[in-house]
Amino acid sequence: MASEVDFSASKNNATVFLVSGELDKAIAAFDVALGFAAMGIKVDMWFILYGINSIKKPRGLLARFKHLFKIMREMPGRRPETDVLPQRLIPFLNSATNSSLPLSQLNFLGFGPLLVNFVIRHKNSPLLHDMVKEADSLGVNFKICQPCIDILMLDVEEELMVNAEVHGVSGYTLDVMKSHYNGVF
Amino acid sequence: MNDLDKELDVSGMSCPMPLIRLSQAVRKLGLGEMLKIVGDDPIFEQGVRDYCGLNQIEIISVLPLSGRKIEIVIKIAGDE
Repeated sequence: MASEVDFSASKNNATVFLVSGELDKAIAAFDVALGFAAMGIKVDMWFILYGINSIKKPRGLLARFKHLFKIMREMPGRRPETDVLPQRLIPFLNSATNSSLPLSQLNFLGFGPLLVNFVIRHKNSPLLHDMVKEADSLGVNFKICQPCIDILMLDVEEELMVNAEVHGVSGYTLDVMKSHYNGVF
Repeated sequence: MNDLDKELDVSGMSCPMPLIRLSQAVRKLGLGEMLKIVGDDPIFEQGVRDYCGLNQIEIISVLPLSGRKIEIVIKIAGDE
């Protein structure tokens, strides 16, 4: 039986893996992904842990409180029956979204990102928000690690700006082996 | 399905443990032997399919059980 996985198109695939939930790294990752996608190369973007924050819908200041009392239902990639009570603190504390990511340096309690976004807007560069939308329109595949959404109690259907697939580590290894480029941010 | 050589239950385990247990079990099997693996991870079936596709292992049957559990029977390709 021949292998079902086709590695022949290796020059036409790229994988970008975003772990960090910081604005600078998210911009870098989306910059690379958009570059590949614009060049006509198929891009798979993987999000794990805080990296998922960069594709979360912006939300209000008080929205974090609703996670403390949210009734968990059946969601893709989630196993609500294995949830524990202290786990609700994770979405409560991990409240950064696409519009409120911190910088890794020069954060200045949140004024750094405001400054950087002001300059980016002034230079007519895309903001992170626009980059996610552009990546979606260019056909980038968004994929999220399943254990992470289970741990972070993420609702893939409601909380994200884009449609994302839920996959495991086996999917990542296949994507990486098909790809000519794999960037981890 | 009486000629199973080994059974493996990875219920309750989360990614990537089912994949690791599957890999360990497959290494102990010979050519043509069959393995039944049961798991309830949300991406369990996809993981087994990815693994089998890469390692030239045949999937004989996929049977959803109660709840989220899925039973998959695989066979190492090749003659006995």
